[in-house]
Amino acid sequence: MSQNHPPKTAPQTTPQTTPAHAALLPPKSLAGPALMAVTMVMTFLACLALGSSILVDRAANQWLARATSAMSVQIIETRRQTADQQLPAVLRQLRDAPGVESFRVLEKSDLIRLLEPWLGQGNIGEDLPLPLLIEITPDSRQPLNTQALAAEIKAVAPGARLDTHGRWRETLETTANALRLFAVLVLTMVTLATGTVILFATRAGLLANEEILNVLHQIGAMDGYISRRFETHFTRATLLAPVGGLLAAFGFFDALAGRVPGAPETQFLVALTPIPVGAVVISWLVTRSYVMRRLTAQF
Amino acid sequence: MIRLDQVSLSYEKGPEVLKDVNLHLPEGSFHFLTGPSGAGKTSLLKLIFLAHRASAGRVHLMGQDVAALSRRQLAKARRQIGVVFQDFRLIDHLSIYDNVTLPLRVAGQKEASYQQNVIELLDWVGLGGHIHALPETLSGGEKQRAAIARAVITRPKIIIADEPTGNVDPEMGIRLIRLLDELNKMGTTILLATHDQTLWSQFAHPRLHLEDGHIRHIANTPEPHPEAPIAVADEVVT
Repeated sequence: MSQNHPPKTAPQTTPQTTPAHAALLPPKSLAGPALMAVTMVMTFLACLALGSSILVDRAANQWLARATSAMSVQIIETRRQTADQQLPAVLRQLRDAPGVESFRVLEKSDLIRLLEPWLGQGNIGEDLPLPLLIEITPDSRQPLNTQALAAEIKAVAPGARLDTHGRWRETLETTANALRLFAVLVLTMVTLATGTVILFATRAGLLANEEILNVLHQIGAMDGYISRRFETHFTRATLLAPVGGLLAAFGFFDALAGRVPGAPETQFLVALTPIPVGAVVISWLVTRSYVMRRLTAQF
Repeated sequence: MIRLDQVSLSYEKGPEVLKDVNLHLPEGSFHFLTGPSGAGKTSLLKLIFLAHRASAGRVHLMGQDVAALSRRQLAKARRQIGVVFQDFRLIDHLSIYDNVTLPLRVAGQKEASYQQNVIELLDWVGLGGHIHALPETLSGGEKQRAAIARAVITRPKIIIADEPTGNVDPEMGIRLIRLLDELNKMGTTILLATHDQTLWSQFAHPRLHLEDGHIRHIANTPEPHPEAPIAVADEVVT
């Protein structure tokens, strides 16, 4: 150790080195590899849960749309009129009814084809009385008052009955809603678990670096300066894991192409991005609140 | 330079570690702070290097009542106080150069403005050949010299050292105190806590003895340094 006085002025010699400053926080092992892996897996699961809930919702909407469009009028003969005699009046009502986009009277061959799975091929003879069946396509832009239409049809044709497939649709709707609820519950639970894992991973990393925080505070660093260093560092450190989870989810849904309609669409994949973004935001918020709380707890 | 008036300190709802302490250390003084373990030496130092707020009383540093300072002003005040700890508190992943320049970085100074001074300072403390070394590769004495270099790099008005020789051999301890002595001769006010009698008995600087929450001022040698300013404390013993 030199016994000379401390330096007062800059030396005249060229410095022997030009060291580059290292980052204030250690580049590795902030959030350990195991915690990063857990964060990635949880982000992947959260993406799967969100993607699945979107697909379930889409499928339920499609089922219900088909169920709503599957409406028909069945005309059977009465004591006074045959089905064919009642048909013109029913067609007039359908033509005039608001909310009906189009309708089609099914041919006898169509009816036989519909019944063959139950009665067997070739078992439907000419003598078997078949009702007339009119397939209705409701107008998606205009609501159809099914109760009023059913009453009007009944008034002009006593043997006609509007079949909205209400009971089947209700069952379908209940099932679809149950599936939606289940998907939302799974999504909520997985998202909460993901948030908790990220919270603890970030806190573990912060605790491991508390000494650096204290040193920076002691040597006169402003609160904002310290907080920004930690925020930037932890946001970068935790960015990789959620992005990895998102890419794995992309791969998973891409593999479903052809099996699940709509899964690999760009719009669908974009809908998953809030998960990793949320993960990074959670990490940033935890870091900021932790650092500021630690600093303000000190003098 | 350092003035404590009726200062008390307790941690949260615990008992008072310091009670009604009065202390006045003039500018350019060098004092040892002694006392038994648990007497509150570190707590007293924490009040002075602005790591803790006093529970009661007034702490004045460099003419300012620290209770009246904003957080920004407190941060700036800390830059005027160099602190040396027993456990060095160097940042493990940073080189000695980066550790020593840390106070300048956080103060927003450009590297070009201080690079040569830092290298000269490291030469002065005998670490010129360890600029790129990581702390873990250095001996205890070398780490403590790096810590002292970090404490003085901003040319602080006050240096607080808490058992700075606790982790080095006795010979190195003496050399470290001489290093601080050199800084004191340049006008830096120094307060050094130690329980090592063999250390403070070799220097002429006066001693502040802390016991039972009170401070006694004790002249360290029969012939104290004639230029050394005398402190005012709760009690004076000669």
